[in-house]
Amino acid sequence: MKEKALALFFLAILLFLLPLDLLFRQTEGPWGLPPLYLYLYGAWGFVVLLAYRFFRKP
Amino acid sequence: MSPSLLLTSLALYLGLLFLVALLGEGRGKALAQGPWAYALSLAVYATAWTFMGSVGRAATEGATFLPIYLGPTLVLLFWPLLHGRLLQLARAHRLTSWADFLFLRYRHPLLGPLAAAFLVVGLLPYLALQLKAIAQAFLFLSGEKEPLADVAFPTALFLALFAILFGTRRLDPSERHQGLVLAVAFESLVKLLAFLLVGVTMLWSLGNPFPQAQSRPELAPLLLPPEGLAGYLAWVSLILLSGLAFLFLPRQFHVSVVENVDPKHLPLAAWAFPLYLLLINLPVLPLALLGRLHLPGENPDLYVLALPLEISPLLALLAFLGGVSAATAMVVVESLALSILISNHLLSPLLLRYRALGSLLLWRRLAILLVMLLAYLYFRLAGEAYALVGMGLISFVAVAQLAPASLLGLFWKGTTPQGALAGLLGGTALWAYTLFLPALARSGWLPKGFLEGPHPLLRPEGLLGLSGLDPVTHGFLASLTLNLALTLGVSLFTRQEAPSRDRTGEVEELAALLRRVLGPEAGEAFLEQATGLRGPEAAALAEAWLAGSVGPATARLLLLSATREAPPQALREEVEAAARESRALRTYAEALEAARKELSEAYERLKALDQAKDELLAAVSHELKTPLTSVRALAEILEAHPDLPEEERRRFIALLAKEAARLSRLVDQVLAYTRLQAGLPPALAPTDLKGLAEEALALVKPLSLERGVNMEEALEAVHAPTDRDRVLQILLNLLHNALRHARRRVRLELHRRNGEALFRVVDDGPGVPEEARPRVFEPFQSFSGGTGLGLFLARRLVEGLGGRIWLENGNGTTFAFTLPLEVSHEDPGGGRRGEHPGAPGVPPEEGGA
Repeated sequence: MKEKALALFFLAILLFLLPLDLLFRQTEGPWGLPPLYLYLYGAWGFVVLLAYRFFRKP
Repeated sequence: MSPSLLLTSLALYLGLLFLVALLGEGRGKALAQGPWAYALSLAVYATAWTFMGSVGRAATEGATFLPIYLGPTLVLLFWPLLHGRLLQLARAHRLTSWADFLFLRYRHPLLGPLAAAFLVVGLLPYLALQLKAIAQAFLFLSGEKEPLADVAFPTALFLALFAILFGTRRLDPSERHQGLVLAVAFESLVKLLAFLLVGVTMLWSLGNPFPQAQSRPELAPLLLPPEGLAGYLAWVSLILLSGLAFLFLPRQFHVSVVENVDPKHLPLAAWAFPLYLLLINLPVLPLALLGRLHLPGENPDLYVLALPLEISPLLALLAFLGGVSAATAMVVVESLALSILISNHLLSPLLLRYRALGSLLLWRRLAILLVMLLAYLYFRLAGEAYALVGMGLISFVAVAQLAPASLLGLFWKGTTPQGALAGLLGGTALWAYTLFLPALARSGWLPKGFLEGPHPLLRPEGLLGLSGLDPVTHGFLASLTLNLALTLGVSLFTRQEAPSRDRTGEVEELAALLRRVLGPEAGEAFLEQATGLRGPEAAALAEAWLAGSVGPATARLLLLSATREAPPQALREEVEAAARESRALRTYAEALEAARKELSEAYERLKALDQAKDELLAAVSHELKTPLTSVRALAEILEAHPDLPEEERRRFIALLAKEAARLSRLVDQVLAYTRLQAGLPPALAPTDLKGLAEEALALVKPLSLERGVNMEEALEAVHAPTDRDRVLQILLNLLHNALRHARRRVRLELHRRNGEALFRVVDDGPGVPEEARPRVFEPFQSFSGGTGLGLFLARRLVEGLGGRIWLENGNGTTFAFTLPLEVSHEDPGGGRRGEHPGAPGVPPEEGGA
């Protein structure tokens, strides 16, 4: 579990600390939503899902 | 909206909070101690600043509201590893704050008080911000004017009372407060549900704001990431800053460490709390955009209230209560955590000096009230000044100053107290210079010129000529860098001080100390737990108990009176080694003593056997001598008198034959006895006992005819696995004995009874005299001219076959014996050999069975 937690931690750092300025220059994306927020909330949800899978069984 | 409705709702909500806390202390205790309550209680992180300020920030600065929640998410992913270690430490030493940890780790008398004072100063404005949020929300919805409509003051007083009631019942702050935890968890649910409901209703009512926002160029920056290197630095700094704040905020330490009842709750919190943060942030951007589109002139911090008010007052009331729940949870836990810091690190050393430590609990309660009043005062003085509205992140930076000394102290042994102190002092000073004092200057409490600094390179918000960074990012990076550099640098250039000697003391003295300081219950509980511990361990345990209640520095001082320095480690190791050797020697000596005793007993047994053998030889010699003497005398008479009359000669020859037969019987029985002594195992085989009894009767028939005794029998058909020859020997011995004493008849009986074969040999003789009965089965106890070995041998043989033999009461003489009808494989003697159930000769009815 220790290795998984560390791997997830570094994955989350990578996802959250990407140079967003270089990646998201449009205000409109899929379904008319801003791509920046779609990405951030999507990455956040993905990390939470992985955390659930890793930690749900103590 | 009517102020009275708002006031009533506020009062009802606070009353409900009270009831929830009471539930947590009573029936809901299990719920409060569960993993979900723990995970939800962590959401005390989300304050009114989250509930209302996030929307305001999103409406003015765009995505920068998110890093404040992404940082804690990152920390939570690392949570089970980091907090597992922290929980262990906290349990062992009853830590109540990071300041306790700093004192414990570095043993520097200044570190704890410095950290405590700094946290109080840094967090008071943050507390004030919560009171302001409640007051502002009330004013906005009620439309009243200050100060008449100031609900912040009574709310502050109520929350102080709440914290006192549910957080300071006892002196030991490391004890769990289930009521408080359940109330905080409840508030977390309320604010989440209220916020989501407001968001969904507004979207439903006002429509999707994104298409409109994309057509408004002035709103475009809100939908894009922060620009350039400065924007990226600000983004990264905010994530790091909020992560550190989540770790080091006193209220977070309190709910995550002090109130944790089971480390197994950590894995659930590691995903449930980030999910909570994600959910509570979902409506932020839509609400911000809706506010900008529909309420252009409104204060963005109030969009959460203003938007619902456009639709429904009831929804606005719900939003108000959500904001109140966010503020009150934070205020209660933070004021409690700060009061513990104040009482344990600042007040208790003073109280100890003035011998007033007994009033510490009162002072802790007063500290809660004081913290609350100071926060309220700050709110009233600062009002709308920058020193208040910009204080959220500035407080976060203050809290983050604990990080280098604490995290390095946890993971790097090389950190020295001097390094930690230098880092904390340097970081604090730079925090004040770059963030706190400029905030005061912006509020007009200091000259505006302060913001320019004494030199262009020393500008508080642009050190070394830096420009383009926002003040918080600048202050955070500058103060944390200096703090870290000083902690590392000074640690590398200072020597690790020799750790202070452990203390040692007597358990009873330590218990008496705890009784004096913490009360009789604590003394007894300590005595129970510490009994059997060595001196240094007991002293460490007492120190931990005291530290949890009066602070680590005071605990150390208190312990001086009841302990002494433990010997140095090397000496202690030598003493322990000597003690171990001594224990080994003692064990060896005990083993030797046991062996000596065993040998001595064996010698005594051998001696007794040897004596028995001598006695037996003497007895046998005596028994043999009588018939031999007769034989010899008769033979000499016959030889010396060849002319003896025929009748006399025949009589002498008959006597000779009789004595020879007696000798033969005696020798047979001695041989049987020696076979028994040799311990030969019985040859067990299925045997027809009735047939065997008839055979024995046939063998003694000539003798019975000679004696004129009538032989009777009552034999049942019984089969048993037994040694045929030995049973025959027993029967012959008993029948011969009976025939010797019988007047007219001898009766042999065989019955099946209770899983055993029961033999009885009954004669109508004079019976055994009462005084001789106890000795009837002993060797060479003959009362009628027998060998004196028959009954003795019979007993030994019966016992060898797993049965019992006894002499019954009544007319004449009746010997009875039993044989088992089943024999276990492990014990061919019927499982009773060597464990005769009663004394020999005692019938089972009298205790023999």
